[in-house]
Amino acid sequence: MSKLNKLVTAIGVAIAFAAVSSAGAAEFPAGSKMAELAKAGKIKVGVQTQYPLIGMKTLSGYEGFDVDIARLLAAKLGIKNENIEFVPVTTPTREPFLEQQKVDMVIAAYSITPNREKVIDFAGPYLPSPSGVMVKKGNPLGIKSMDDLIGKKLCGPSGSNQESFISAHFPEVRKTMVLFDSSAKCAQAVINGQADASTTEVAILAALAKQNEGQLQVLGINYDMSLYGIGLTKTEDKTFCKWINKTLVELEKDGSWAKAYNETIGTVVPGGAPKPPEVGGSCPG
Amino acid sequence: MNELIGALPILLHAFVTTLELTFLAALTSLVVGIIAAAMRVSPVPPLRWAVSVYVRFVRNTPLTIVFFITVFGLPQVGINFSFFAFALLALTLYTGTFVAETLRAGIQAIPIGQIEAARATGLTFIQVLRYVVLPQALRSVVPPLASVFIALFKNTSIASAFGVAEAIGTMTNMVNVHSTIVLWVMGATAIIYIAFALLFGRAFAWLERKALIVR
Repeated sequence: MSKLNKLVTAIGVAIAFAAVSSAGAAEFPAGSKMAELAKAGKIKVGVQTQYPLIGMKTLSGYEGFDVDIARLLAAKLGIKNENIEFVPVTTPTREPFLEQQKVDMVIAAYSITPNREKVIDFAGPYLPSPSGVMVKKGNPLGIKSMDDLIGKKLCGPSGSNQESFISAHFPEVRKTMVLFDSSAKCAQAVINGQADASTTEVAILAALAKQNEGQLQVLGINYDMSLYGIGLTKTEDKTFCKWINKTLVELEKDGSWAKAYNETIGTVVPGGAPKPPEVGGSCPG
Repeated sequence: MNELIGALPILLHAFVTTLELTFLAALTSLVVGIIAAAMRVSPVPPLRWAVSVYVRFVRNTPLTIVFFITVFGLPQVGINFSFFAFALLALTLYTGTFVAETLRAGIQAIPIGQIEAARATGLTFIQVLRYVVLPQALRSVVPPLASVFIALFKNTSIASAFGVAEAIGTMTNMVNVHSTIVLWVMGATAIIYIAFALLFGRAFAWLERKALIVR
């Protein structure tokens, strides 16, 4: 083979290599979760299905702030919307799904807690989510604080952050609490007069109050300022976690975060988009 | 493991509500079932039709929807009870249909000649049921009734979604707090369910032997 031939071959190989790497996962380190997902061109995301404006399954598909965040992150991996597989998750299935790698990430109104961080990683937080209290329109019982709920029937979702928080911080309120499997049922119970008040994330309460126009009212009582994180399978190197945190900051800077907020939660919760929380989670810095 | 042991007493305590609901609903659905079965074989057509409609509608409706209509529908027309009472009502309505159909099978197994003979001696329809039909029918359906009541025991878990803090509701809450032992908590709950169901099975087996002796 002549020297010229060798040179031409070498250049050809170089061009081919460059073409492959720019089309594929050039920006992601080889072997990383990002490279793996970008190469596959699809992703499985665990989401809630009964949380209006956060994670909701409707006839036309999934929608809500969590779902928008999933789409924004997937786009950064070069994954098209139609290649995102949304997997419904519930409180008892979130950790097992991640531990057994049934999903690539869980974005499901998932509050970061030390206990959960023992078994999974959290990227983010991406949303501050206060819990609130909703009563019948006109607040007939005159509830002004959490202490006013002692001896009252406060309705909350079973296995929720609110149930755990109230058990720990307002045990007297917990004694007469009634639990349903969805916030929508609690709203119905309040409308029927079967429960005195209902509690869950403020955004969900506001959405339910809007759906039942004129029958319900969200009070100004906020508690449990929990932060939502993105649940990931626990890893040693935290590469994926760090990439998500970096991307979240980008999304906050370019305005996509605020846009997603304003189109979902912002439509019912007054005051505009809040300041996004500082990212950290299981991979700070 | 220590975390699971710490969580067990709360879980066991929640089974008290599950068992209360099971026993009360078993009793009421047995009463409803016997009445419905008697109506179903009665000589009065409107009674037969009424039970036929009840059984066909309720037995073929998912239990969750029976709960939904009971818990949220009745208050709309001014009927309001506690969530426990609503759960009891929903479970009774639902299980009553299965008891009625099981009993009807037992009644149909009785030779028609016996009933004709009883009627010929001058017994009324109610007396025939009381002294001839039901004692035999109830004995012959003890094994299938055991299945109906074990199903009822597990069906009480639906009440967790409708304001009753029974075993499954408590399990869901515990899983949220003890996120490191999710599968263990669920496994433990399953084992407690199985233990009680086996116990019921034994009780019914005893009842079955007893029923045979009395006969």
